[in-house]
Amino acid sequence: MTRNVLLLRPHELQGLVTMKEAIDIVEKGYREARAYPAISAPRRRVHSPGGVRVSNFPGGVHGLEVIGTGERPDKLNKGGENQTKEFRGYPVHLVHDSNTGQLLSIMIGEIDEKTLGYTSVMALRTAATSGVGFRYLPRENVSVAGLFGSAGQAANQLLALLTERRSINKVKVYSRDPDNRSNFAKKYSKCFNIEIIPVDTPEEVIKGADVVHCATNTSVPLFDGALLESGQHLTGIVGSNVQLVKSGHRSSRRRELDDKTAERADLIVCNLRETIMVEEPGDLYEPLDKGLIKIEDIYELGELGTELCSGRTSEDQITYHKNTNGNGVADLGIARRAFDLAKADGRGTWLEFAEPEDLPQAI
Amino acid sequence: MGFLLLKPEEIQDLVSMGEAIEAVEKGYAGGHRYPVINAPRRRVHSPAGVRISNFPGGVDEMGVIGAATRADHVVQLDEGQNQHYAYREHPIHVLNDSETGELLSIVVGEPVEKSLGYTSLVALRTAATSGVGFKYMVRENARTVGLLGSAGQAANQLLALISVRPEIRRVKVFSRNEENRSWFARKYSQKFDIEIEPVRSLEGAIKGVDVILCATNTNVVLFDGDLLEPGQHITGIIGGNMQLVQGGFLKAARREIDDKTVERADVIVTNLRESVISEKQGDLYEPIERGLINLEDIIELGSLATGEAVGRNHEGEITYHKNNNGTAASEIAVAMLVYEKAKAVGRGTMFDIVEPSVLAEEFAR
Repeated sequence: MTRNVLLLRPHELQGLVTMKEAIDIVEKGYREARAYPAISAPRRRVHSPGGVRVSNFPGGVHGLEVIGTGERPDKLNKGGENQTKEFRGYPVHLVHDSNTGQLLSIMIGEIDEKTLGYTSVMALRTAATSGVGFRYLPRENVSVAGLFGSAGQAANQLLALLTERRSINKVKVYSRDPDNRSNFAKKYSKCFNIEIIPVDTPEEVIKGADVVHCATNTSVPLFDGALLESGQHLTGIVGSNVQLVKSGHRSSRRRELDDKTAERADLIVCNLRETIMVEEPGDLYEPLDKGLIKIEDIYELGELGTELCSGRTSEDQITYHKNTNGNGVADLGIARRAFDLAKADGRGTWLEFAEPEDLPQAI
Repeated sequence: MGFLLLKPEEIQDLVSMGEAIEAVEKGYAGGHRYPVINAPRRRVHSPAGVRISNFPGGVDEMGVIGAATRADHVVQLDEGQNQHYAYREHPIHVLNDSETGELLSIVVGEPVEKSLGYTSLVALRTAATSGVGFKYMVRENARTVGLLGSAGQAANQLLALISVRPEIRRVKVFSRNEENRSWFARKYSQKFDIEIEPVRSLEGAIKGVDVILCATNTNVVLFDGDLLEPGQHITGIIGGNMQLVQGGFLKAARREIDDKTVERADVIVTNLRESVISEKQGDLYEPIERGLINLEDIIELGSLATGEAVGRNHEGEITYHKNNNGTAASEIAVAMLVYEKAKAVGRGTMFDIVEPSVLAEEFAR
């Protein structure tokens, strides 16, 4: 007996999944994993002496009938204030049925947002993960967003915010290169039909914004946490892992937000608490290590919107979602959706394999 | 850009046990010298009993880094005495160049020993990992073996031992089912050209032998550690993981070897210490918890391979290798060997992958 498995390649994964679908999937993934933790695991990275890093994302969403792993290679340049990459490999997703264990699809390539297309690495699920935070943490009727960064992650983060918060009518964008920020403003004000103003300093982004979101590749804090205003919601997306320090690729942990931010935040939400211990992402690990915050006070994304954490409880709280990194529960959920859509659209190459028990037995 | 896809049918007859042991040794030695290239196995489970095992890591000496992934549908039978599988999917190995990061190959299927063929899942790399231990821990003058178990793992473990110690002459095999042990003795005495005697009792397989190999799927302790004799080497292959207990599939952590064995052993070696802790593997985790041994007293397989630690100091020592589970050091090492050999003989299918810059032009809005 033989079985068929769908091979999908990068050009066959474009134009499939919308931001709204992705946010719903990611919310479901984290929430189910909170109730059934054995289906989830933190990202784990391994590094070669040559500087190649492979990130692994095991997990699943049983409600979507999927379990498996994601894997992505890249090659980092050493050190620096911004993390840059010599090589970015495509992710490979191995999509299995969570009821039977059968392999459904081998999927190579970024699953990009349907309307935004190919922009950056894992941009859709990173933004969709921020999107779950946007659903519960900003105040009602927010209108002004402050955005750090002007590349693919920034576009996806902004789309996630606009998807969840239609009351946003003004965006201030800052990135170090004036051309990049004005190009971003031109391109995406049209694309999203919204006012986007490039600003010259980090201070201007934060002042008066209801939501501040970071979408850069920085390795050092972007601004002084003292600048934050009461009632603001803040999202950061840089996580990193301590193995980079252990292997000598970096001399210290990556940061994006400072200790002051962690101290001032009234409500901190991370994706998975276990990640903080396994990868020691600087933004939360270092203030924990210094005793400025306590692990028990940090909520997980899967607790948001449940009786464990309803989200923001007052207008003047500073809320802070540290979207440290993706996890399998988000990636495999999105991959399952992409598989279903690609299959229905007749995409990909069907591979035929012998069933394990039908292989030649011992001679 | 492109990669070589290898299917299960294409990787059946490529690798010998000796080659696999050599590759796995490179994997563990490299992981010892540069620990961040390896990570413990990590498993996730669905409520329906499907388990994904993920093995991230690489072997820099072979130019590879990546991950292996395998799905099993796990079922516990006999009130949790034995672990069975409703379905075991082909493992999938994703191999990237450890210098450039580029995808080299996706190897689907179980790499099997070329003279044994397909017997049981992960039998080749499990046995090859035991083989690294045999090389450093079994006495040079060992001649007799007690083998517990009579299926695919048993055949592979035995082949690994005789690959490393060709002077082995005599095997006593025990498994609970009489027919199975007699069948095993008949089949493999011929195949390996060695004397194999089926024995009626477990004690019969332990008394007077030089090496004891556990190759069963038990969830509970196989024998009393008091039976062990000076000079013996024991290898156990069951790891288990705490998520099985956490997910409600097992009431207690899997065991195969008892606390007494741990107390009596002069040298204890495990594949990766981090797995003992991260997966709370009963055979070593529980005696550590009880204070019978310290984690630091356990030697890692990689430090035997680099020569940093010694597997046996003298003839009279009891040595114990807890081959707690595969890691990428073995999975990726063997898969890379398969890829190299398959490529050399022109097997598999090349698939193109479009460059990101082309994608960005065609699809970015």
